[in-house]
Amino acid sequence: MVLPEDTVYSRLGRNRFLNRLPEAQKNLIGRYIAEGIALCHPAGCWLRLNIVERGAGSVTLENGDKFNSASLAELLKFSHAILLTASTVGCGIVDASAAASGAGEGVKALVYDAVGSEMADEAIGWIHGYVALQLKRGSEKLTRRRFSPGYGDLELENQKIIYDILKLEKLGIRLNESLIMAPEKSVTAVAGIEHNN
Amino acid sequence: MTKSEFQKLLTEKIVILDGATGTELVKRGMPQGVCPELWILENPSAMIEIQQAYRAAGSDIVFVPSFGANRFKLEEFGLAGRLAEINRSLAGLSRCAAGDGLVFGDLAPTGKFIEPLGDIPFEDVVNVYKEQVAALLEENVDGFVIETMMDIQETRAALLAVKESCELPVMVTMTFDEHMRTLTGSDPLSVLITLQAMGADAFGCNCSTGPGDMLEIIRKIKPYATIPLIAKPNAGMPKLVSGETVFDMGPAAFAAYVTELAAAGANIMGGCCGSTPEHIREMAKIAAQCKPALPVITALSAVSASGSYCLLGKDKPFAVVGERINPTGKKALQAELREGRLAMVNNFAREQAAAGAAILDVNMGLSGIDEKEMMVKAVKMLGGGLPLCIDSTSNEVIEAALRIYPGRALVNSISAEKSRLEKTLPAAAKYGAMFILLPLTDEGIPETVEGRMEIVKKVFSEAGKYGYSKADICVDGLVMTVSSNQNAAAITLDLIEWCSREFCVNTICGLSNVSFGMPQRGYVNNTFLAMAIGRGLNMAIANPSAEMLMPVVDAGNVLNGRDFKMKRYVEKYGAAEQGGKAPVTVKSNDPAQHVFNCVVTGDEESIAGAISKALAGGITAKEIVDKSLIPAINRVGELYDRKEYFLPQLIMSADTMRKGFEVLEPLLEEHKSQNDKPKAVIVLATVEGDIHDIGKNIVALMLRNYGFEVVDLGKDVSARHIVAGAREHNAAVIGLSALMTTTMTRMAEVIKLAKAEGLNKVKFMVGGAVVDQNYADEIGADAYAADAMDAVRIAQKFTV
Repeated sequence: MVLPEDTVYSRLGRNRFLNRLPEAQKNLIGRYIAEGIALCHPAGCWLRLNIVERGAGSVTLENGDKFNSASLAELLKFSHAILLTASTVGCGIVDASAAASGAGEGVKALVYDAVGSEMADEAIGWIHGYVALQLKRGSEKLTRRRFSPGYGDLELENQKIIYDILKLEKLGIRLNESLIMAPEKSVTAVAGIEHNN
Repeated sequence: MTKSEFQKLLTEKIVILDGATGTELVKRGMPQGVCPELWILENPSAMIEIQQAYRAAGSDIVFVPSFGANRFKLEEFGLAGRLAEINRSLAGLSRCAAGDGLVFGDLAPTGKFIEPLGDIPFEDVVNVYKEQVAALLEENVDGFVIETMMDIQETRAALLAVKESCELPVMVTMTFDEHMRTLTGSDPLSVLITLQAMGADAFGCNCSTGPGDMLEIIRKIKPYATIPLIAKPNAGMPKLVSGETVFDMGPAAFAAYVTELAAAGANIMGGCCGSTPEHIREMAKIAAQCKPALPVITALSAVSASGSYCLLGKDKPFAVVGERINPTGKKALQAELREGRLAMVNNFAREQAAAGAAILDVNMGLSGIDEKEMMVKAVKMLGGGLPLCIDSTSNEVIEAALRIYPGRALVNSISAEKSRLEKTLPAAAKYGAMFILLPLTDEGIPETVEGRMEIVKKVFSEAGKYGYSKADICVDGLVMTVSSNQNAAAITLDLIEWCSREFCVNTICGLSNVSFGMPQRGYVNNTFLAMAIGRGLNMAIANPSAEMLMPVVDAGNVLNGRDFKMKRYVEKYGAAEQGGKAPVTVKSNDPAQHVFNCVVTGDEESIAGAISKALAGGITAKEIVDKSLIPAINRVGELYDRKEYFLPQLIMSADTMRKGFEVLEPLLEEHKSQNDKPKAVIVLATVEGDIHDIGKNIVALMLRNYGFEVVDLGKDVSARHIVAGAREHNAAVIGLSALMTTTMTRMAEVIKLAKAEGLNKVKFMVGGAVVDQNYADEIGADAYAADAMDAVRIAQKFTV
């Protein structure tokens, strides 16, 4: 995976004056980005499940699990199956960011944090790219958009469903009572699989 | 068909392959979601019809439709138990359809990822392919094709499976996207270097792109190919028309690229997705008029990793082989390796790559560890970076590393010692590795140049029996220390000159040996390097971070004409010169202004010096705080609010200010008066259940810079703990953070508990990604802070 610096800058709050960033500051941030990338150990998994029932506000899967979300049902209106994905970049980057924070190295902590988030997203994107290639041979495609629990009306409670289906403990991910994943830089997503025609 | 018959065929004509199978099967009624291999066996006439049509159109070779007939893929349909039968039947079907045409068994991706990318061991995948190869061999296929591959390691596994099972020719094609990368990040030249060295009989690309994009790939790799090249493009790019996927390139437009593809160097052509027998017919007609462009070289001096390569030779840039990944003399690395960890190895790799190394030497030789296990672990970790030089005295370690290395490695080293010639040499040859030829025997190192030359010739002669050519080796000049023999350097230089000018091979040496036991070793090393470059040396095992080493190498490249138009040199050193002329830090003669500037520009390195100067100039510590530091951070806050600064700049300034305070704190303590107001205390916490705290940490940093005493209780903190902390520290403000909807409700619990426990004077401010002013109002918080600067302003308002 290649993480473009641009995505990290965007997360850090890129603005129109960024081109005025002094060389020394740019170099420092660039160095922290490179270090951050080296601290990430991306891992991910995915699973395809058929949709057996789709209502206006819910989608039921072949294994009996159900997502209650009108927005997700709308996204999946042409889909016959879904793709569940998860990614994590491990504890290293999170621990390093916390250590930098504790040592008063605010910029380092901030950049590591942004790199961790972007890498986890990039990993999901990579998986989607890979699966899309496989689907293409069977005249199928992925929906352009994807949903994650906690966004829109797909409540965070759905994190537990995805966690259990994908057996995320195998990736070293834990889910606490508040349905927050640890390591912190872990992401899950739901996308639809449609026939090309 | 033998490999030589295959190569002979390619000298006579451009060989035509078949076209798409999947889209043709769908046209003949194959439904979506079925196992294609099983459907073909249940509907054999469809497949026979397709392959007969391709043969009639001009295909010299048809592929057995065994694309997904490997164990992992068949398991998805519950058919793994029928693997042998399915592969045999499919091959029989193709044989029947092809008539007197050639039939190649087809191996394709398993859909699994090999370690370290996935969790499947490399050897498991080799065995999965071997199963399929064995079944296809039972039906006497004429050769194999490994196609549509997306990962170099899986491709290597398939190639090894074929090579370890038979002597038949094997073609390999990979799929590259529009950026000329495979899914796992390999570029065409790196994989060509790897696969042709391993023994692929032809290499190229299929699927993903149309003939136009493929033309560029063929053009790019042809000058480096020692084997024929393949282009099997899609019929254009897929488009959605009236709800159906169509490939928009008709047979004539498709075939119009044939002349260009042939001229670029494609020796084998066919079609992939969307192509039909008509496409192949048009292609074959034009190809029959084209003369095959045979490989322009017979050997290539180059090493590769999964996504990078290094070309070697007298006209190529000097290659520094980074020497740092070696535990000899490195206690910290030794300790880490004994614990089974590789963090330092990773750091050494990164640092050396940044410093300019072209190849990384990896040596895991250390008593008390399992060298083979650690070498394999290190190679898995580093295989995606720069090409590697596998360095070990153990044949077993070298072979284990070569087996799983996803590129063409450099072996360090093979000498005329019996065990090296009998064991290491065949292993290196099997995996196509280049090697460092060490001119020594079981009896030792000859003292004369002539003695060493004889050994070089002897080892080269032995290597020739395994197919090695001069391009595949680098002779080590064997530099000995001049402190024990002042003639040592001269002998090495003479050998280097003979090797590079007369014997015409790459030359390398372990640079630092020359200066062993001497003071200021860098002077000796760099001078020796310059002298050796002058005698033809083109590689060195050295530390690229050593002072002046890379400048000597870069200047040597210019003077030897290895840096075309001095581009690399000017790019590297021209920029540094410009940087020197344009200082980035704003200087000021006014000491107070200089302190101010340091904070505004986030110049953490200069602030301590600036404050010392200001103090020496008679400005008091309190004046520096009041007239420089506080106005400066206020100025930064304004710039941030106006969005002229972005968050990292705000933090850099805050870090600089903190450093300034550290310098001033003892002085401020000395002059503290009883009238000075104590700092207001702010307790911060991320609420229970929430582990996100970067935002809260930034708020803490900014509040401290504005003179608040911050008690940071951390993350995932219970309401009871927060309230107890606020009581203990007599907090004026409690700041609560939450990132998720499931945890923001905990904020209300904290406020409720604080009020129930009589903390009526304390103010609450809340913040976090999902929190807003409405929610703050709803739970009875006194304020909502949108960001760190907002939190500072709110805290100032609450503590006036």
